[in-house]
Amino acid sequence: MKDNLMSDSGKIRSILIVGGGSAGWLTAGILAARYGQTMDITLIESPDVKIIGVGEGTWPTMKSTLKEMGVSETDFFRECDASFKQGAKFAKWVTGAEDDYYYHPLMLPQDFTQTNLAPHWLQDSGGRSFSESVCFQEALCEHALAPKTLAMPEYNAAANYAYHLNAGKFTTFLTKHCTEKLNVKHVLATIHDVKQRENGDIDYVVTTANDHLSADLFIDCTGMASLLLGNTLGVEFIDKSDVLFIDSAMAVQKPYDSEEEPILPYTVSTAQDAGWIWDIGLTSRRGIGHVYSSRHTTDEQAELALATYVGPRFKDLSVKKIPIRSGHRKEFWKNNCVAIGLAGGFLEPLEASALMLIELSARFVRDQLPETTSTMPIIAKRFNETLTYHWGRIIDFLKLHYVLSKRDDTAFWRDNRDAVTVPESLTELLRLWEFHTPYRQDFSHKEEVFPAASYQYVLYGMGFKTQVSSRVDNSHARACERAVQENEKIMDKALTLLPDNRQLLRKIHEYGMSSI
Amino acid sequence: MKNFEALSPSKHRDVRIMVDYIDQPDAQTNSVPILVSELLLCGANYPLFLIKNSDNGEFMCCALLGFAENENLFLHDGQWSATHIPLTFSRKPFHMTQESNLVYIDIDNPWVNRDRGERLFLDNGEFAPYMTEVIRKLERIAIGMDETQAFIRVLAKHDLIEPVKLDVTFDNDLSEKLNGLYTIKKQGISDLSNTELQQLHQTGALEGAYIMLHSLENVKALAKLKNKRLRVSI
Repeated sequence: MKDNLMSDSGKIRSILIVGGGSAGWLTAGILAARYGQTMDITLIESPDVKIIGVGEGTWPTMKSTLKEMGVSETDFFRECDASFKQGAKFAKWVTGAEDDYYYHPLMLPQDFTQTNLAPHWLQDSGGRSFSESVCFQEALCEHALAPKTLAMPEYNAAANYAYHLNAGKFTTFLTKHCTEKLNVKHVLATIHDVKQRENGDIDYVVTTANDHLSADLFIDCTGMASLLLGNTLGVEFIDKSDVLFIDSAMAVQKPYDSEEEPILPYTVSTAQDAGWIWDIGLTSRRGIGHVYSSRHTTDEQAELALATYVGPRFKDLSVKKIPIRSGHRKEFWKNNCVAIGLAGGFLEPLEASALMLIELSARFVRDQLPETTSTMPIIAKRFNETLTYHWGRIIDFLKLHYVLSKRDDTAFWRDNRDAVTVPESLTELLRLWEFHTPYRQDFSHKEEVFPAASYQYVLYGMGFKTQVSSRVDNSHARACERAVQENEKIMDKALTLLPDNRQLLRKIHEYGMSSI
Repeated sequence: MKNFEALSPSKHRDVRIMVDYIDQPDAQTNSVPILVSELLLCGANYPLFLIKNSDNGEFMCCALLGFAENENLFLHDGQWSATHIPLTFSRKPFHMTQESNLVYIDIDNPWVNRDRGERLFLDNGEFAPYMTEVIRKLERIAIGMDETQAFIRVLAKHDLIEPVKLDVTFDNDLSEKLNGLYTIKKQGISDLSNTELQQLHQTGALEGAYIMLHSLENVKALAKLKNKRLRVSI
């Protein structure tokens, strides 16, 4: 691509992805699966920059992302220490008591597209939690079962799932797949300078070896450094730490105590005095990390909380400390440069939104890739509107977890409920939900990152009381009862049919899954 | 529970097998694995499918016996009404280890008793004709397993396997959906080159593939058996 002059017609023919972590390689794979044969796609990464490598939980979207890239799911499981994730378990978020927990599963409530079960449950819960009575996935999680059997083909399952994965191994895996199968060119070099044209567009990057790499479109995947969008193009960072207080993380990797210790098929998030601890089970180890607000605790206390959670083996583990800056760029696409991944912004990993946002952004670029430089500003504007909307909704949704907490024991929890820290959009929704349950009409975008069902799981999991109207017709009540019974039936069947998570993962390593 | 003992004339001289009353829990299953060597005989009686073994994900050739779980529509008054009973079933309650060719008997099987049915040994300690027949079956199974796997591998290699959904509505308006069934991809056969067809023909896999395809007609016969049973129960 060196000295590759842009053609006069202004056609977009070449893409340079800068940075090679999960963001860079996922973007490369998503773009190259469609354009690998017709466009010039190159990824440049510095051999000296380490990837941040803590994004280890995905959304179910990762299934189609990998499938569309032509990845064998068996290879992915084997090479990335991957395991199944069927949702998140939030412990101690409501009262902080030992038995305080709720689930946000990955499946919609039973019959969700036809029937809204939330009002029915609010009127008569039958003594069961919301997620338990509308979705069978919580039961699978509590029994540490896999979402499928070995007889089901790759990417197919009885229950919806996402992945836990080893981020380092994942980028290695994607590097191999993208360069060997999808025609992505790989350049290992450190960028020393970025040259712009008069109109501000990025012209080329200069490596320390003084090579020039030009492209029609640049994708900034340089992580928090935000080398192109932030540094070169000077796009402002919008700080959100006034809403989301988390600004520090420390992580460890804990080996399993034995070959028999269950591999939990869900992410556990346990609330602490000034933050929360994630616990993600891979096949090879657990990834455990404490994210906290340095305004509400000290590093020493935070480490102590992590040590208490991990147990006596903590002293043998190395602790990795990562600063966090909650917020995002004011624009994500400026001139001929798009930021994907942490270069665009970062939020605490409470709902594993990081990898999902990478997929969502890369798909947008793939589906609406401008034909010529003249249409690029129009696409860029749309991209910015869409992404700004999504970031807003994610921030609302994360804040919701804090706003609904009844914990009063530390300033962190009390401050989180201070009205001035709650976005106006969320305050409005909360007022609405006092009398209306979230359902399909509440969100304006066709593709919401969090569907109404997710709001239901969190609201009613955390004990929010919507005062539903007693004006319910009988046929609707019967439909609800049928749905709840159907869920119970499926639950019974799933509990007998589905294998233990660790056992199935072992078998996937031994026998593999077939593509049909 | 199974309780296998190595077969010996001294220990099992008086044991008899109740061959005339098949209706035992073991028989209450809606599918049974079959061997490629009995494809024709099975195809004449049952719809045949490929089903994955949930232990290792590998395909097995199976005869479908019913729609609901544990439903064997061929059982009637304790008898199995078909012109051929799949070998992996009719060898019961015996089992032969593949490594050592030793024969074992599951002494907890309800067919095993001391009063009724076929004897295993003659008075002189030699195998009785019934047992000779069983051993022949066990030997056929031992050889047939590998043959069957080879057959399935050939089908997979030529991309001739595809999933099929069975959705049958019965006279009482209730329907039964079966997932996890696979059959032969007919289009896949048409897409083969002459050389590939020839290879497939020579290994016998082509004939096997067509037997499996034709056996799907037996789904109708199976639904008929189910409807007949429903009428009786109404």
